[in-house]
Order: sequence, then C-alpha cells, then structure tokens
Amino acid sequence: MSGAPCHLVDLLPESPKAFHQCVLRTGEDGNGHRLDPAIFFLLDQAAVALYETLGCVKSSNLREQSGISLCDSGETLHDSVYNITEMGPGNNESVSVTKEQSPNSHARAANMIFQLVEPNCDLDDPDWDQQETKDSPQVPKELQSERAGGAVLGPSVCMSTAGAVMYRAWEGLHGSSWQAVRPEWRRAFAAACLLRACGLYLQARVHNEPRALYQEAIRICDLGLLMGLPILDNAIPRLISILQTCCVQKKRFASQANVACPENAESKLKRVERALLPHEGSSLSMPAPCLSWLSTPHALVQPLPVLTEPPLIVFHKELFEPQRPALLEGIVRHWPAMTSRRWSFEYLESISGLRTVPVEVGARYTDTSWGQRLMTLSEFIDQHVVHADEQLTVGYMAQHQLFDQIPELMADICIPDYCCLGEGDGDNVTINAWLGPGGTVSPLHQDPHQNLLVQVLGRKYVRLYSPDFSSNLYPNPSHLLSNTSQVDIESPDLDRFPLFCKAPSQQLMLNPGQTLFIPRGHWHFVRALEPSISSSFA
Amino acid sequence: MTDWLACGYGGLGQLGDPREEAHVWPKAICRGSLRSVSAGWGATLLHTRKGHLWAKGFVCSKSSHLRVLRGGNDIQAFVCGEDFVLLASSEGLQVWAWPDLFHDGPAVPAWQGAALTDEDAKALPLVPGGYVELHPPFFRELSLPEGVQVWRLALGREHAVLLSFTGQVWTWGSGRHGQLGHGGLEEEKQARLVEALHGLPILEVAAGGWHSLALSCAGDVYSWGWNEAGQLGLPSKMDFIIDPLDPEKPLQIPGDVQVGQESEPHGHKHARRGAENDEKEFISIQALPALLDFPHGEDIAAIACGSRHSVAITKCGKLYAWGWGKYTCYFDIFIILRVITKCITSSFPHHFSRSFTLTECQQRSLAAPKERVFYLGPFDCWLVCLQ
Repeated sequence: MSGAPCHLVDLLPESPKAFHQCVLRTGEDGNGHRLDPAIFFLLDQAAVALYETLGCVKSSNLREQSGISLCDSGETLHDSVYNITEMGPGNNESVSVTKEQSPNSHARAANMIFQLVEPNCDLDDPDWDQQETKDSPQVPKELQSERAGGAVLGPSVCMSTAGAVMYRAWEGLHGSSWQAVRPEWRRAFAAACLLRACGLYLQARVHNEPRALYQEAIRICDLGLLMGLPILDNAIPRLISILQTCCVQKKRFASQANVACPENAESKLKRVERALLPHEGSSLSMPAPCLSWLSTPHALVQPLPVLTEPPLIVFHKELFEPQRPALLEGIVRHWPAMTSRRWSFEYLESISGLRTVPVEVGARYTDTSWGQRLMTLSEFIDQHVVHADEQLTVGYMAQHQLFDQIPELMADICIPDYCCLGEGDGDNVTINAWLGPGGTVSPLHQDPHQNLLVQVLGRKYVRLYSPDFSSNLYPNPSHLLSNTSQVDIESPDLDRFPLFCKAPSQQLMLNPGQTLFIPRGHWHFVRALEPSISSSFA
Repeated sequence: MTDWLACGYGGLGQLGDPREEAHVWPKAICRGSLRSVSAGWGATLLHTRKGHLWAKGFVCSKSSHLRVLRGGNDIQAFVCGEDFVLLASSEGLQVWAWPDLFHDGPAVPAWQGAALTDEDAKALPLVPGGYVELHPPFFRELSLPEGVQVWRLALGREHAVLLSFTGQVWTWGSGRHGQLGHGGLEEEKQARLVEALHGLPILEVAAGGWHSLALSCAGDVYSWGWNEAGQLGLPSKMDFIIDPLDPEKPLQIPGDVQVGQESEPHGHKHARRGAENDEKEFISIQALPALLDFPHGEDIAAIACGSRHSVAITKCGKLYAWGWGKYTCYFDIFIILRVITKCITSSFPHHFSRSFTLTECQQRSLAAPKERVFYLGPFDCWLVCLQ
C-alpha cells in the first residue's frame, strides 16, 4: 500500500515501544497516580496490531521492538509474549479463531500468554481444569466479531482493543468534576482514540463504501480531542486533516433539491436558505415579553454607550477602568468571516460539517431536563437550525472552543486588540463559539472574566445589569448555579423577587458586525432572535 | 456451591479465554463450581470449593490465572476494586494492592484491620465502626443517628448507599449525577435518609458507578442516579449507533439460548441517525427514586449494579439486564444498547432449565440470609449463579 499509510507512518512514532513511551511521557504531571497496567497492556496490543498492519515492523523484529516495561515496579513483560517467531504452526492448530491460516496478532499474543505456566500454579488442583487452557475452547462462529472472515485482521484487532481502552478510560473521565479528572486517564483516552481511528482509517481504505468509516474515524478523533489531552505532537488534529481530505462534504443545496415532497419544496428551500445564508436588512423587533416589560412603570432602562472603533487608550479609559459595558461598532469589519469568507451555516457545514461538537439540549441550563449531547456539526445544523421548529427542545452549541478544535475556522477571525487588557496577558484569551437557532436563551448570569461578544450572523437581544445590584437579582443559592439569577427576566415574578424592578438595566439588539463589551461580573441575558453565530473572547 | 456464569468484557482473560473479547451470553467461567466470585476490571477473583482463591485475568503483567497467596486458607469474604482488593480471613481484614496478592514475600497490606466474625464478613464492606473503601484511606467511620442499625452497604464510584436493619436507605457522597436520591445534585458529607423511600421497607440496595437501585420487600425496584446509558431503566438519550461496517447485520443468537418472547431483538431496531430521529423525551439524571416497570409486572428477587448497567432476577428465575452493554450483546463496533429491559431465559448444556429461587423473606430479620446470588463487576461484566 502506498500513499496514505505513509501519512500514518509520519504521524506515529517509529515503534510500539516509542508509542508507549510517548503516551506515558507526555506532560509533566506525575503526582504518583498510576493507571491500571492492564490499560497499557491493551494499548500496547492495539499499537502492535496497528504497526504490524502498516508493515513498519517485521514480525521477527517485534520482540526487540516491543520489549516494553509496563509496571512501574520495574517488572517487564515476559519477552516471549511478543516473540511470534517461537510459535510454530503446531501451536496454532488448536486455535480455531479464524478461518485463515495466519492467526492475528491478538490471538497469537493471547495464546502465548495464556499458555505460560506460573510457578505457583497448582496443576493438580482439581478446581482448575487444565484442559481449559490447552484445548482453547471453541469460540462459536457467531460470537466472533470481525476476527472471523474479516479481510484485514490487524486493524480490527487494533480497533477492538483500543475500543476497550476507550470505554474503560471513559469511565475514568467521568468523575465528580472535570477539573478533578486525572490527566493520565485523558492521555490514555486520547491514545486509544488515536489508535482506533487509525484502525478505522486502514479498514476504510480497503472497503467498498468507506465514507461511513471515515466519518466514524473523524468522530473518534474528535472525542479524543474533546475529552483527551494532546499527545504525540498533536497527532490527532493531523489525522483529522488526513481523514477530511478523504471525505468530501456533499453540498447541502444539491441534496435538498432532491427533497421528496415537491409541493413543499419551494417553501422548504426558502426556509433552509433563510436559516443558512447570511441575510441583511430585515427588521426584527424586540421579543414581545421584553416589550411588555419595558412598558411597565417599573422598568428602569439606561442608555448603553456606543463607540465606533475606539483606540485602545480610549477603550481603557472609558470602558475598561470604570468597568462599563458598551456596544462597539466596526471592530470586526475586516474579519474574513464578515467579508471574503462570509460566515453562514452553510459555510460552516462545508468546512467542518463532520466534526463533533457538544450541544446543549433544553430550553435553558437551569431546567432539570437540560442536557448535553455530542453530535456532528452537520447533524446539529440539520436538526436544530434548519428543522428547529420540528424539535421538541432547543439545541444550542454554546460556549464551545470551536476554534481550538477546528483551526481552519480560526483563520477567519482575529482576536480583538482590546483583549490584551484584563488579568493576565493577551495570550490567554479563551475564544468560544455560539451557534444556534432563534430562541436560544442564556439565562441572566455573570462570569468572572470580562467578555467581548462578537455577533457574526443573526440578531440577539441582550440585557445587562450591573453587579452593584446583584442582590436585586437573587442569585441561585446552590453552589453549582451561584452565578445565575433565579429571576426569569422576561416575565419576572415580582412577588417572589420584589427588588428586581429596582435594578436598572441596559439593553440592546446585537446585530451582525457589532461587538458588546461585558465587564467582569456584569450580569447578562441573551436571547437569539433568529439563527445566529457569535464568538466571544474572554 | 454453585456454578457461576459470566458475561461481558473478557479481553484480558478475566472470564475465560482472552481471545474472546466479549462474552455475549452468560457462560461458565470455569468448570468446577465455586463458592463465590468478585470482579475487578482486569481480573476476577474466584473462591474455589477447596477454599483457594484464584485470580483470573490480567495479573502481574500478563493474562493468566494465579493463586492468591494472602489470607491463608481461611478466606471469609473478599471484594475487588480497581487497584485494591479487600480480603477478610483469619489473618484479619486486609486491603491489598493487586500485584501484592500473589507473592508470599514480606509485603504489607495497604491497610490492616481486626479479624471479623463470619457473620460480620458477610456485610462487607461494612465493618464494625465504619466501612472500607477500595481506595485510600480505605477505612472510613460511619456515624448515623441514634438507633439506626446498619445492615448492608453498597459503594458506588463516588457515593454510598446504606440499608438499615429496618429497611431504610441512607446515602452520602457526591451527588452530581443524582445518585443520592434526595432530589438535587448537591454533595452530602453525612449520611442522609432517602425520604422518598420512606414507608417502603427495602430489602436490598445496590450501587453502580453513578446510580443506585433499591429492591423493596414487595418485589419492586426503584432506581435513581445517572441514566446516560439507560442504566436506570428509563428512557435514555443513547441512540443506536450503527456499525459502519455492516449496518444491516441481524441479531445473532447462539443456538442454545432462548430469548423471551416479550423482548424485541433490538438488533433489528437500529434507529438511523437523521432518518426517523424524532427527539423523544429522555432522562439523563433521575435525582429521586423512580419505580421501574417490568414487562409483566413481575416481582423481583434480587438486584445488582455494574458500573453503568443493572441486572435483576425475578422470583421465577428470569434475568433482566439493562444499561450499557457493549460487551454483552451483539457487540460490534459501537453498537451501544439503548434502554433495554430484556429478558433472557437461558438453558445451558449442564444446567438445564434450572431457575433461581429465593426463599421468601417475610420478615426483615433474615436470620439465614441467602447467599449473594450474583455480583456485578465494575466494568460491565456480570456473573450469575444458577442453582
């Protein structure tokens, strides 16, 4: 095989041993916690299977290449485990795992391991029927997975073994809080994802219909990015770019033209267009609940200053020092996302539709039925943007560091200069993306860092309250939601929250091309009035 | 002495042949009968007729079976964890790291306590004065209000569920997935009564990774906690994900297993992503106990939890399992089971149509408590004992 496997060879270290060491060595946090050695054993098995398939490592060299020290106590894996050359054909006769003559590496390794006799194993113990190890019971054909009859066994072994590690590591990742998750688990998870995706890639290359496999491999890589840590010099993003060249995204409109119901086709197409393409000039009014609230005698609304491309000094003096919010015009007018590569949902889908992103499902995050799901950007746009009104609940891709995950999109934006002000230096800016249909709501809440919210597409209604009036906003007493107000500001319950109407607010419609400066701790409420894309810099 | 059947992930040899990565249907873990078993992730501990303790699986850097040399010849009970094993024997109550179990050398246990009576040993991980967790600092004191007599304790990954002698349930620990059953997500540092089950005498409790089950004396099962894979038996968000290699692959059932009529061969019900993907209501977290409905309203006799799955046995011997089951059924790449209440009536070659029975427990005293009938490992294997 030429071509692509070379790409994989560039991606991976030169041997399974080096792979193992790279995974163990990445990062400097060694606080003494060791993962179960079985995890590394499985990762090594998967790596060996992968390397064998790539043809990088000849069987006879496998022993030398794979002399791996697994236990921290210095115990080394028994060398003969991987010594395939010592296995004669006679030892394999009892193995009826595969139809083919050449047993796969997993079975070979397992055979070797299982036949080792431990010194303290009591062979006379009638409790242990030693026949069990010698006969190697028939694994019924229907219970065998891709091992039987599969054309390429190496990748499948790699995949299934890496899959086992993925599931095991997944549980290690889901502890009480994300901050408490041990980095060793995240690295092991990322390594398992990488191996599994490589295995999928190799299988896809020889498959009739590889598209689904490539997409699955991209999905696995994204899981490794989202939940793992960078390993092997960013091998996973490099693998993703290899996979994406194999997978050309179909144009949405081309497929929409084949919609089955002709009488609705035109209106459906218009709705799809409206959702996906950028549009200017339509006038949107304030949401009705806000209008009715504004007309009550209680409402205290103050004007919000508007500045057009203020110099840094002006920004610092007028806004940053006094910590006043303001609307900024023109800052992003030179962004490629606003000009040459005008962003729209269709554009995003064409660039990165296959990438997996976390989506919040549920009306607002204070609801009990709120949850997070992972889905590809394509699915999200299809289900929750284009067909948003057919769904039971709102889906919102909110507060996700999309630009770290998809560097191609990073090229379309620039970090505003104002971000260099604030705690720390300008290098620690967290850039989030916010994608969703109309109707997404972020309930009134405050953040510990200041924020520059840039509106790229669509319109949002935003209301701001100063932190000086926090007690009027009745923050949630529970620890998890202490930064969120209990008041539903679009229809406030003034019996429960009487002080709410005494708090002055500022409000605005945020249009594409505008930027909102939200000082640290400032309460804000955001409702999208139409399908919208924003990005925030904190 | 009973025969033990195992099912689940066996890629390291912990259930038998390590080449058979997924033990899809319950089958015998070894030929003899065993006194009891306990499962860690990479290895299983088996207590044989002769009183020996064997570990099967990935031990000491290889897949094999090794005899445990600690605990002498008189092992009362044992509990496996991921990194440590709790062993109650005549040498006392000890917690050993896995590798240290197999050497006869001078290693010391990670924790040592006084020897227990046989009766007390049945209540592991409860010990006089507190309980033993399988991670440092191991022993934790237990303080409950006056007059509460503890009976059994089930430990999840981050929480604990305690059953009192009078059938009350107390929980404490992390509550981020609703596994404490108090209606919220807050952590509880002290044991707190689960008031939702007040008035219902509970017979048995079980704790999975992030969920809990309770079995009432009337045979009802209540579940609460995390439901991301359907481990509570409630509608879950997990869709079927099709095996990209073979989307049309039908269900494969070995010849000697009967699947109950009421279960749908869920392999045929692949919901395709995007096609008929209507968003049904699903529950991710259930913070208060919910009653489970079994297909025929059967009474349940025993329950147990794995890390993300749950199992129940009815009074007439049927086995139900639900939750995360990648390695238990129709595994292929990424077929993750949705909520299933699936009934398996298995007839195995040497235990033909024997069903499990539990002596009726009219009174809560349980003078002669039934042997633990089955036990679930932390990672998706389960072992069933048929008598």
